[in-house]
Amino acid sequence: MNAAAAADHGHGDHGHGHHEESFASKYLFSVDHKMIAKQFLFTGILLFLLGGALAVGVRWQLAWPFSNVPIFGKFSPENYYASMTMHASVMIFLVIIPLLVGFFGNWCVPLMIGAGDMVFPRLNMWSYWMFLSGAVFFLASFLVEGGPSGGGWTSYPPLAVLQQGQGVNLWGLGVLFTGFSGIMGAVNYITTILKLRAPGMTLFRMPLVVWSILITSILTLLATPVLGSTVLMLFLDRVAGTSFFVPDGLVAAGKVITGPAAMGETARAGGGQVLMFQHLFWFYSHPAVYIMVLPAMGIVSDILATFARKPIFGYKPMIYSMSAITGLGFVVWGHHMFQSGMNPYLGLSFMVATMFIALPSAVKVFNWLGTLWRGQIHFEVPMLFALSFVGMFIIGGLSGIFMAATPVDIHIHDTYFIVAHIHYVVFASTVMAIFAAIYYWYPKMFGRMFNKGLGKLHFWLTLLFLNGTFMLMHYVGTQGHPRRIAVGAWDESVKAGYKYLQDFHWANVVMTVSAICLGFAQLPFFFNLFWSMYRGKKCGDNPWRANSLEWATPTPPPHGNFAGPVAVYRGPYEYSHPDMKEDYAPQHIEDGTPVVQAQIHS
Amino acid sequence: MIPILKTTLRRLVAPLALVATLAMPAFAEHGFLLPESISDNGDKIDQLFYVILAVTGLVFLGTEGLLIYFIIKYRAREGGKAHYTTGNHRAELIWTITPAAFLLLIAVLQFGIWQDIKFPSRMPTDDPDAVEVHVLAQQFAWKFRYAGPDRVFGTEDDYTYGKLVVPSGRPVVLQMRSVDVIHSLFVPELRFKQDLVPGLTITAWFQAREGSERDYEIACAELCGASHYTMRGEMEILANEDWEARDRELSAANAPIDYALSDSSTEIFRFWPPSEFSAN
Ligand SMILES: [Cu+2]
Ligand SMILES: [Cu+2]
Repeated sequence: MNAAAAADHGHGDHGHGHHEESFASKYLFSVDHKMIAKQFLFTGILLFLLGGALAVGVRWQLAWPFSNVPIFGKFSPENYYASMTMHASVMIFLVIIPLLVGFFGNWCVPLMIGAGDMVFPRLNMWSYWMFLSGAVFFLASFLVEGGPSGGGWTSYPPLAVLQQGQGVNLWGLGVLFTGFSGIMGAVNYITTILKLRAPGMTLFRMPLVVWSILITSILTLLATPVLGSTVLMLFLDRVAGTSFFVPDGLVAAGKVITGPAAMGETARAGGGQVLMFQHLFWFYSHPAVYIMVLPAMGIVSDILATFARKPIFGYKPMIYSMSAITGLGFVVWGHHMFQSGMNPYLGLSFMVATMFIALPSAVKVFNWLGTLWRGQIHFEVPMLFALSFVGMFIIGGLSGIFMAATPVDIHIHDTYFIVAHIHYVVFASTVMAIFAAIYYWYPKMFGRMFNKGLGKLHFWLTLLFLNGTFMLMHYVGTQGHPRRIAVGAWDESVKAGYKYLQDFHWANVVMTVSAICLGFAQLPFFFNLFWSMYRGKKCGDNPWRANSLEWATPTPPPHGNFAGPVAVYRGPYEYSHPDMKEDYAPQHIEDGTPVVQAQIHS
Repeated sequence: MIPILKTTLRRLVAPLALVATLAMPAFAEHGFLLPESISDNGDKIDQLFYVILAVTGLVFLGTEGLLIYFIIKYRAREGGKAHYTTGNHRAELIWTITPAAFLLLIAVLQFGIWQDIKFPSRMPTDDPDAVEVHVLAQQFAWKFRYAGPDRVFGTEDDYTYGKLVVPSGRPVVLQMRSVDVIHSLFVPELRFKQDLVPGLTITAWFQAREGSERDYEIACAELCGASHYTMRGEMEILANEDWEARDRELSAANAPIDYALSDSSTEIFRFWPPSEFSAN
């Protein structure tokens, strides 16, 4: 099927694009991939505010335990653990994955391969509504008695089974539904990429963004069902009295819950395996880290090439390294369990696999540096974010080696060191790449340019305060500050905390102040996002003078995407070829001369 | 932009140096990055930590330095043209094999340390000198069961105490169990951390050096409920003869354990009779 046919298909599928669509079918039940992408974008950004607010609550508690949190009031320990659990759950399941895959995959894949829409537009719509239902379950848990789950985003049993209230149940349903959404999206991306590419768009002419979405989708498709069934078993353990993860000999609140019948009423059979949950959970959740970083790597690769005006250094090695990360990603989950009581012999094999998964990431970093080498680097806003991704990903990658080293992990496991590591990977790298993507494709999405001054302000403040927040976490972590404690340094007034942390309390205060500033640093972004939609300077079809197909569409792209049939004549990274007059060569133009002349500086 | 960056950096040097100097005592007191280490196992872990720090530190400086150098050197210039290249197999081979060698080195270096600390075959469980302690974790407290002067569990002189009291210079073997949710026993100075998992009995060990006699804190490192942060435990290390005296004292002062109420069908209830919990 070629692009034109796909476009026709997209139209025919839901009446004609000509006559006026109703509000509901245009904005709510749209089957247009670009509208669905925007639905994911705006829902994700809204929930990003919630996740950020929860993080500030957590940080406030750590700096000034049990004092008045602005707006909210005094935290109880339950409030603290609920905030901590929901901060992570919201950010992972409702912000990062939906923004990277739901928003960004939806927006880019059909446009970049020259298709009129996704191959299954209705499944695409359902994927958004599944995601939204998942979000509703998560949000509903704030309203029920007892509040949201306080068992951590990892929900380890038996704690997650024994927790009272509906919080963990709603958490489980939320994870299940966002998981369904992810699977639906993955099926759609894989099929679309394999079946709807424009003539001439061979697999090895696809931008790395598309490759990253393809690989991520395969990962999602293989890993998410495991998480789904694990959460379902946890759910059954809670509501149906099963004992998948509930062992013998459990006592809670002075009452024997499982074990010999002679000991009194036995509600459960027991006999379940506690560690089994961790194995199953991390079988998904380690690959999930790559689901959260591979598309970011794709985004950054494209943006670096565009603004360095150079081809990607080692295009195929980039693809092979992403594939290697995916393959190895399935055999390293045990590195989360070195101190869990798992067989120590097994620990060594997981350690070796983990050491080697660092290799493809290292290759990618070197190839990005190779891409910058002898380039012509334009410091546009998306490029600033993409460059900082490389810088921050190096930190997040290197700190991982400490935890992969099993003996060192004994000391830093479950301390702030791991909190630092995950935030350098997921915030300092991935969220920065999401910002890069939003700024980069903004002119195409909305037909107007964002305010560049505000964009730069947003960048510098975010870079400064994210390091202010997360850098010190390494330090308190190696000093033994456990994660997930509501009070760090010993506090005489609440009679809790650890005396050995008293000398490091200043660091908790610095991190909290910086985290609050990091929150305020997002204001220019939100203002820019909405203000420029209406007031931004109008811009042409290809303001960054980029090669890939999305820039060949009218701006903003109409229903069906392309004005006419589109064919592809070369790879996406033909920048600054010595035989060409221009320093770029759009994929769809046969002789390589761009039709549209645009200035990269405006 | 670049000149501004340079002057800003130059202006930042003095205040940063001042902050670093002022912060030095804080670093010195606790060791540069890690707390004081009081065991040989801890020292081995620290050595590996510093080896990794050196390797990753060099890579960090090299790659970030190169990134910043390229950003400054290859910024777009009027009329400039980028160099056209799609890659270089030789270079890519070099920067695949070099990190692979370093990663292999780090992997190999740690095998022995991990085996010494964690492998059951290398634990001093049969060492006649070893002191065995049964640990029980429950929301939100630690209990420690000692065998008493006869060094045999299940006898009259066994006693339970809320504090981990151990001698220095002798291996200490812990039999760790949890009765409700997962907890984790963490002593930063020992570089010791081990989860306690309901349904499992986990054996772990450490040996504090002579000269390390003082009080320490035990942290619970695994989220175990809303009062997880209050699950602070205490550990006291005594010189061997002091410890032996204390052991006799505590054994005599504490009521014997009612092992008659044990339930042998369930591992944990054999050592920690359910009657111990029903009181709560
Ligand atoms: Cu992992
Ligand atoms: Cu605990």
